[in-house]
Amino acid sequence: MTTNAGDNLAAGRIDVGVDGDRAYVLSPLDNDRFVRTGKQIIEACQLHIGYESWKQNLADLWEEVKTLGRLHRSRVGQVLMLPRNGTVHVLFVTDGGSFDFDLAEALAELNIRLRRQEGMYGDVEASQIPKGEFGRFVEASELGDALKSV
Amino acid sequence: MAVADLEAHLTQYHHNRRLIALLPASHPDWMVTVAFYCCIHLIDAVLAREGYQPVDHKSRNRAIANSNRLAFIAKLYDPLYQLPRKVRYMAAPLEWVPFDRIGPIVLGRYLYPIEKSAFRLLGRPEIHELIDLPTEI
Repeated sequence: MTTNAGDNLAAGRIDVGVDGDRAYVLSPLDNDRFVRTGKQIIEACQLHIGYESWKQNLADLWEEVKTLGRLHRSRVGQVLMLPRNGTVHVLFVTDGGSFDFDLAEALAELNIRLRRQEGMYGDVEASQIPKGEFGRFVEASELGDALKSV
Repeated sequence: MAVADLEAHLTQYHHNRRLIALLPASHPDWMVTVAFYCCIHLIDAVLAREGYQPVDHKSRNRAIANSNRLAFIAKLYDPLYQLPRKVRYMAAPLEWVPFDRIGPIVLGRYLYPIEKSAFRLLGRPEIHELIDLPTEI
């Protein structure tokens, strides 16, 4: 069976009405991987955000959240950044067993800024999880795609 | 402005608020969850007044973050948003949010100031009765 260019274009079509919530894995040449919804891919194109710029924005964000983790090092043992269902999750793993309200307020400021700048970063959400219940919120299979602070 | 939506959200806010005081001290995880849903309905009432009806958490969060009028609420709402999203799934929720944090922090630092701001934005007199929590376990 032969396939012409038109068929390929049709097969690769992303329609916001049909594919808006569908997750796509983006695999660039450097073996990195990102997950985005069809709607986010369309929005990124509409905003003329190049993939490299977006990737750089996330790299800068990773440095920022690691610094934030160090600022709260008395409670935060590790910071993770991992993709899940079209959202990049930034998880601050706390050593203590109780919710840290001061950390939550710092994360609130970060989340608000990220939501305002969604065009720069895509859908990102920062939150905290207790080390003792790590396995309840992160699957072992996700760790391969995650960035992890030491 | 969708007046019916606004009133429906306020009715549900009061409905949820009454429940907080009825929950036993042994269930602070559910107190914080109900407090969060009080805030959701208050914020949705404010947004309804502006002609917007969020359909999920993501659209609500985006609307809050991008509204200057809601800037004060935004900083207080996000910790309440973070808290129940995790506590519902925990094996040890009472350690994550102990009862002694409900009155001074969850209500005093977040819910009450959000209520005060939301009623001001709605142009309505605030009915700000402190929630009478049960005595500690």
